[in-house]
Amino acid sequence: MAAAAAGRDARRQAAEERSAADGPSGTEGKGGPAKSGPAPPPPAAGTKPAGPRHAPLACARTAAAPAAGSAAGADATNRAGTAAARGGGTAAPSPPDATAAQDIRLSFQADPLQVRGLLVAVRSALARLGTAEAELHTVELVLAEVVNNIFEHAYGGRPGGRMRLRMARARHGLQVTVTDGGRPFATGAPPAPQHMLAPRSPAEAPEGGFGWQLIHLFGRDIAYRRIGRANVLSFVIPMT
Amino acid sequence: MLQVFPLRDGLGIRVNLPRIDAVEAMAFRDSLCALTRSGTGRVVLDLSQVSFVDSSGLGAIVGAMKQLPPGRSLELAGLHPAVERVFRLTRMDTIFRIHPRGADFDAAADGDLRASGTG
Repeated sequence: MAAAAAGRDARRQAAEERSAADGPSGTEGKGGPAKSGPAPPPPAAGTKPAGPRHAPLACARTAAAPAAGSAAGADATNRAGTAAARGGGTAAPSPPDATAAQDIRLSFQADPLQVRGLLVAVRSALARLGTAEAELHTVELVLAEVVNNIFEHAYGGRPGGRMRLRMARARHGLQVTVTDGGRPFATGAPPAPQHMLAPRSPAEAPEGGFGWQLIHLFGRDIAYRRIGRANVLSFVIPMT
Repeated sequence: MLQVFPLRDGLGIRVNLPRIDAVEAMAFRDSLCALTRSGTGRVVLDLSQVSFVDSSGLGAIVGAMKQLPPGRSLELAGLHPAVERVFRLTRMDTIFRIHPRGADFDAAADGDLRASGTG
């Protein structure tokens, strides 16, 4: 009972934050012709993760070290067919056109550095449409969690896998579809929502598992399908 | 990345990163652990330069806190609203003492620790 109440609290909090935020008006999503091709190719055989970038210290590690971005850059295309960005290393993909934020399509490499560039690009595209700060943060956070989960789990932390992101502004929010060519969920479905309880003591605090809980907190109509060798995850991030 | 400064009763650590995300989380955690694995007193993590923390960054901060030796505690200061929100929604705000953004966390140490009962 207490657990259910706490879960409702967090969800209500998220909902209140959503309704408090001002969003762009009159930007109803325009469903352009879908250019859905075959699933992205699986990662190249023999691709190895980059080693740790620093000497290990006494502290225990609980997760695989993220690999540094490698040579291949993200290529970004939008509805207008412009904004092809190529950046290796620390370079971020150039932001898509503001108009394209209503229907953004991006193809990029699944590794944390590319993900960071992608998030920055999406954020600035939505910001130019006048999206409120809290909503920008929600989109950035949910996309970060989804995409980093794909890198870490579907692709096992190995760089080189491809992902496709499609975002379309709909009346009720932002419709997002993410496709990858990695492993399916081990259970056949994404982790279920759980009630996020305050830990009874710091020692009992979890160090992981936050990602999908944050996705469930903000995402609506979450749907996952395995199509051939591709994972297709879609959801709506409510926006005003 | 991490800039250490003394506090009257512990250690301040300023995080000079705009984001603690999947790119930075492990290196950040290791560096933070290395700076705090000995000594006593509180450690205040100044996050005023950090505008984005995702689940991996959150996990890194919680993980570093759990690695602290006995007698040390980790407190957070300067949280950007977007960062505070992630702690609050995951309920991780309940296991840290969080100083309000802009507050003088060094001067506030003595009285507040007793008053808030989290010391």
